[in-house]
Amino acid sequence: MPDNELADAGLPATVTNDPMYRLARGLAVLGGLILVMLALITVASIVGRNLLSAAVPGDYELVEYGAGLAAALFLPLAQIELVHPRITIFSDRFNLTARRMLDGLALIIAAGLSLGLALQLGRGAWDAFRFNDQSMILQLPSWVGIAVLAAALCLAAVLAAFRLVRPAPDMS
Amino acid sequence: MEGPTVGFIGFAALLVLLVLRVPIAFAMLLTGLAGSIALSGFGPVVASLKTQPYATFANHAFSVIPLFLLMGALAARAGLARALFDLARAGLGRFRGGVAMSAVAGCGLFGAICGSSLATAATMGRIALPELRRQGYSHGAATGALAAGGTLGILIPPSIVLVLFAILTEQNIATLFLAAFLPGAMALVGYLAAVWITAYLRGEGGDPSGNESAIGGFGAALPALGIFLIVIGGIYSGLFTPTEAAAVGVVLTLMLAWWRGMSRGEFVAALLETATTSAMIYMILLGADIFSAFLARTQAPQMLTEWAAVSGLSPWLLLVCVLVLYLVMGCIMDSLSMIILTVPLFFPLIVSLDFGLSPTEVAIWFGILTLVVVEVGLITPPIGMNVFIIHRLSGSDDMAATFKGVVPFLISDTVRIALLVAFPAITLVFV
Repeated sequence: MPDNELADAGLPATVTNDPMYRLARGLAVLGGLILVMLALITVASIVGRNLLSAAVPGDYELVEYGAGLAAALFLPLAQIELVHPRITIFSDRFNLTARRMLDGLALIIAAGLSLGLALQLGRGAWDAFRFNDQSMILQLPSWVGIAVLAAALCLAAVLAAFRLVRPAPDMS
Repeated sequence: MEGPTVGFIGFAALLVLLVLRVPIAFAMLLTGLAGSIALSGFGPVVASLKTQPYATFANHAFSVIPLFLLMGALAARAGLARALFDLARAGLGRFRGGVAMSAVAGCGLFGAICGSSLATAATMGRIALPELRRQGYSHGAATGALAAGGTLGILIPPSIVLVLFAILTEQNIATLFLAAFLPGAMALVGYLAAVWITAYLRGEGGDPSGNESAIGGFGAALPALGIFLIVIGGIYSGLFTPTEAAAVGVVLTLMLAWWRGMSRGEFVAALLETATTSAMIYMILLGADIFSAFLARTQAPQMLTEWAAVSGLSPWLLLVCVLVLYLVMGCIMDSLSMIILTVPLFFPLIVSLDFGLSPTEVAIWFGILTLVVVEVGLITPPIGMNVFIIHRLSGSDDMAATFKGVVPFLISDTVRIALLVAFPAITLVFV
């Protein structure tokens, strides 16, 4: 639909037919299903709180944790579809080669930063695991959430590199 | 090096990266990290990255964003657009420019359950564009009305832009939604007036043919009104928090969409649309978090505020300068990025100024003004996102005509901005 239509316009078939794309898409759908589940749990909690005076315990924590997981799972798809907004108005009059080079540079920056963050988060996950860091009520282990974000950013870095070799056909 | 010098270099580097096509999120991340390292050393800054990105992602305040986006994406597939358009047409069709007015009003009604302008424009565009064509509207008049009408998606609560503003400035989402109500209604009335006046000047008549569907239209539109009342009413009455309201909205729109026969493919498309937009926002929030941490180290925001205090400039002049800057920036960059990037810098400045209002009142008023100028950015050339969406739907290659069609609505916007700036009471009356 709307937003994807815009992104799809720049997505060549060599990208959409690739298993990497299907993986990123699958993870995003998983994240979306987590969101739907969170919504259902929240509604159950509201109903329970008001009608049965028994809310779902730790619903606040669950939403925080689940939304974090979902948002992490969305990252690879956003990277492979190149939806992150940028300003193109100044560079649109550069020639095609210059634009290609700048876009390549931007992808290298995205890949480098994602990888760097993933590495640090990996160490953060290990720390959280060692110290057994947990949420207050449900004892959700924070290392899992951090590790998922690290893995998602790592995959995003790979996908940024992938788009370096499979650039979008030039639109303008 | 001194903090202010590094701050200045950091800002310059950010602008250079942005001009060179680096995505805004990554440009903020890179300059923020480099600047912080220059000021505080490599070790502490890099060590903070072990947990800070996760703190952004697993932040309860942000969870409302993907939920509202999912609600809008599902609402777009619940077959509501047709019913809302028919309902509006039953009431407005007989006036001059009636079908275009109905498209605008349909957008307004849809905006009451959808917090995104792009989704509103696209959803209503699919239904109303063919009908406008059939009624003989010119390409520019039809696409201009829908591009502008789509902005009612964020002007009328719920609104993703307001949610972001509330989170960034630690204001109450419910209060901001309440404050947006009258300005949103003004926007709708102003747009309808823009259509009517344009039609009058062109000597166009009305179209009485849509009236017989009034009862049917109302019945079919009832679920949308119900969802609006439950979600927004629930927030206003304090029955549930904004996050809970968004969750309720997701469940209700999902049930409605299923009942209306949403296919599995459409459901997956709704999830994917939510995914890419959410990921985009989270990455910008992460970048902004790191860039703001750097800015705070340079003390640039305090310096800006102190400078304003000693400069002796009128608060009103400063406010107008910030709003004009937003209008200009809105022409060249994505609206959500612009808000996330600049609000941490300008919000402390504006709230420190004396408008004869309490700081909370100024915060809310500035939030609504920011929302309105951001909305204008969605329909101004060269990169009005709503214009792009509708233009793509229309399948024509005459983008200039669409921008021309938007002009009457921009005039209406200008009048409204002037009123909202001059009379803060319009915003604050319900608060």
